[in-house]
Amino acid sequence: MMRFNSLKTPLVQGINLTKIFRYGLIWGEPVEAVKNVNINLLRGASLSLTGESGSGKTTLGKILLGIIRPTSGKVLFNGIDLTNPKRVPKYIRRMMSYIPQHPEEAFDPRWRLYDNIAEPLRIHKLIGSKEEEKEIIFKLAEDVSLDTSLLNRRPFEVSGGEIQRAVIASALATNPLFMVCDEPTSMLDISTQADILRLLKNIRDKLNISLLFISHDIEIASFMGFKIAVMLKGRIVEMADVDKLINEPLHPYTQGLLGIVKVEYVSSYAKNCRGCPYYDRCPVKMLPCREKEPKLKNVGGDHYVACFRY
Amino acid sequence: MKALSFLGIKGKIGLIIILFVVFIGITAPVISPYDPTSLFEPFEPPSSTHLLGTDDVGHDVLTILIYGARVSILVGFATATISTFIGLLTALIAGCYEGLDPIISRILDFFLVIPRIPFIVIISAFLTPNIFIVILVLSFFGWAKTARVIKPLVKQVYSREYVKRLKCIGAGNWYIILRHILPATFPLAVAQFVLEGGHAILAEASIGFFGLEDPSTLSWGMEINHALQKSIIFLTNIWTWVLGPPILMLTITLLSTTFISIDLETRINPRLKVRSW
Amino acid sequence: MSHVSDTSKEVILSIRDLKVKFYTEEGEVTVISDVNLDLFKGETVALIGESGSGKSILGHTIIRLLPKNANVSGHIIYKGIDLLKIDSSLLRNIRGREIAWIPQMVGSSLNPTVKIGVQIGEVLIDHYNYRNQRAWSSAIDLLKLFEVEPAEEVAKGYPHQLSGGMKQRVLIASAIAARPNLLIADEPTKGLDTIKKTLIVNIFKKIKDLKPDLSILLITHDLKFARELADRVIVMYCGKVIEINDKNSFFELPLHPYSKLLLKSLPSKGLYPIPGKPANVANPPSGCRFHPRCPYASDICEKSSPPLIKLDLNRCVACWLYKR
Repeated sequence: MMRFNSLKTPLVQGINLTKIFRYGLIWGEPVEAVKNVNINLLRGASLSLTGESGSGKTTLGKILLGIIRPTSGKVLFNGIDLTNPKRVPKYIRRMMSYIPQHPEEAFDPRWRLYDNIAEPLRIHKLIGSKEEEKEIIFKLAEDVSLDTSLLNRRPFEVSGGEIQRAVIASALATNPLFMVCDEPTSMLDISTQADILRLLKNIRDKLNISLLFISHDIEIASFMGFKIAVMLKGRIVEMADVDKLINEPLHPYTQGLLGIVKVEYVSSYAKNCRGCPYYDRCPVKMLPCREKEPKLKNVGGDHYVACFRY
Repeated sequence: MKALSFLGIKGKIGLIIILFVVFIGITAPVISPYDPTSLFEPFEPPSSTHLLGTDDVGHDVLTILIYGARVSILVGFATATISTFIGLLTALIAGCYEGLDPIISRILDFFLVIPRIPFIVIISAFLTPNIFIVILVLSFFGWAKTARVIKPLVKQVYSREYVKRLKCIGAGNWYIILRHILPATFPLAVAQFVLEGGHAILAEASIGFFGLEDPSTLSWGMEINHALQKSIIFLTNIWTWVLGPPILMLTITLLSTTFISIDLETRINPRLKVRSW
Repeated sequence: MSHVSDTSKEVILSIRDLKVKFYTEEGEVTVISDVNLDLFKGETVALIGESGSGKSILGHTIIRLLPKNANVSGHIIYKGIDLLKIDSSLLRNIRGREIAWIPQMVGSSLNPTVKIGVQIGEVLIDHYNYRNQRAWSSAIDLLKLFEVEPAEEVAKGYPHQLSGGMKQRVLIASAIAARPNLLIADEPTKGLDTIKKTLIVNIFKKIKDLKPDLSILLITHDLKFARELADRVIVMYCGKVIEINDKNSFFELPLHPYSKLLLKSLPSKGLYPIPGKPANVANPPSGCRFHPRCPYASDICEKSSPPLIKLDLNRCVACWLYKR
């Protein structure tokens, strides 16, 4: 039986997480996908991660879900250690879900949408009879505004927006406490995008789910509200409440993403660098930026920046 | 049945032929005009009593043909079943357990390099192989080919996003393998099954043709072997009923398995792609 | 009905009464109907629409890359030739040299067994009879222009050695190598993050600088991208053209209700979703195809489909709200 302590105890905790990938057997060139990241996610709160592709957002999300093992650091889910994916107990998995970027790949293409949505329930043996299952699936479909006549179809027979709704329904099936949405709308049309984003926001508010929302589009990431963290080359370079970050962005990279400052594109690979990860593109770099890496500092009111200018 | 709509013209023709051969094999004692051990006058031309005449020893050719079907089907089916079962299992394990893949690949390479028929030649130096030994040896090397073909598909499906998602929500490895990966490999496994069956039939016939089999085995290959031993058959038209029928049966059986597996494989590849529009 | 907005500009491509049907298992589906539009020399046009609008198919039709079960009627006139009526040898001459195509699937569009330099240079060898040496050095120049460095090494290498972004730049380079007059790009920013999108915008701006009289047709559903590059905007919905407008005029004062709602669904404008479900081109609504979702719909909208009418020199719309 799990006891949820006071609301102050974070539901998901990432402590000093680092993940280094080694590409190629012979070269073995190490790539720092995530470096020294600390995350605290309270029950019912939501955190948006933004940054260009290759910045480590997806990897961080997968580490927090306990499906990738970090090279160093710890992941705690309500006190339970998720650091080793192989040792995660099955009942913990019931409390989390994952919505991937490509909706058409999230489901088994040979199964009907109905079975795909019901699968989490079947894996955890949460329901007794077929009738009970049908009732639950239909209710879930209604919650996500998915036409129930489509439940008998296969993924390739429905549109991207409809599949994404089904994926969300499946994610909600086990009443999870923690949900990671990895670029859920980047493959969808603009108008469908608006629909899905509003749906996710409603769900989060109604069901009090802790949400980790990943998007390379900073405007979409900020729509979800609460806190937002900007990642670059595996590090968090700025983190604050959404309103604060959008109105007073401090880090030059955040300013670049918001279009306030021009960004020059060089490379997105997280190569090991000695100084600030933004050094090669920063328009306002200073002398110390090259040698030392700035640490994440609280500059007032829970607004953190990793930059020597502050 | 879904399988029937799966096949095109080629596949359907192949299926009809192979089912016909299977039927003959199963009902051999019933439909065969004579008991296979009974002997008559050798080299009798086709007549009303012997529809396909008699061979060099005096067997009724039609009887031998029917019983030969039995042998071929048995060898083909048994070898295909064992090879596919073991090969599929190996492919699933190698594809889903990263750590075991290198070792299994090396083992597969070893088995793939050794040619089956010369190996039987060596075995026959020590004992005269009967059907079961033939099946054993053919399966012993056959599973590697099936495993080799299916493994990449297993790996591809295992790396799909939905598998990662399922692992994330708590599905065990074997649950994923049995309920998602295995069904995905099914069409390819069936195609391999048919193909392997055809190869096994040909291999068995070759072994019989080389005269390596137990002489009491009534296979098409042995029949061809016997027929060719008497060169007199080419001086007259005896060869048309002694040599012709077994060769013809062998050919159409192999063609049928080839048709089916080609048809299946051409339908498998487009099916794997998700339709986009 | 002519939609020439400025008689001093030269028309480079003229589409008249275009209709594209597909024969499928479920029957005949008309995916594009009654398309009439002109493209001018030197302009960049954004062809905007969502999935099912037919914009991608329109692009494929111009370059005649449709599957076998397609049936096309109408006219696509390029330099006095109807592209739909010519034979394959003349088509081959036009493709690559006159009209170039940048496909959506970057990964599978380059030949994995041919060197990059050859793939870029082969258009020059085919269409302009360059010698191999000259084609090779032109390829290297193009790679340098698009900042694919080190250019000489890349030219000698193969596609699998490049990242996705570099492959896309190579694809674009090979498309413009033969200095075509019309460039059609199919969703060049699909799935890209903001920084990469800026890169693509810069590349297209560079291409325009290289050849100012190049006409570009951008097929996209990314409105921000369209805003950066386009001179004119054409909006499609459910197989029909519903608005043609100047870029600035479109973003400030969109004409068609769909355009208005589409702009409102952008993150920067509040992410207001368009009510209802997107129309299915296989089973379209009666009358105006947008009427079930339109906040301004009236009786006539359900009964009859509005024609594309010209409001003034640069603007056309297909909506019963507007009288000529």
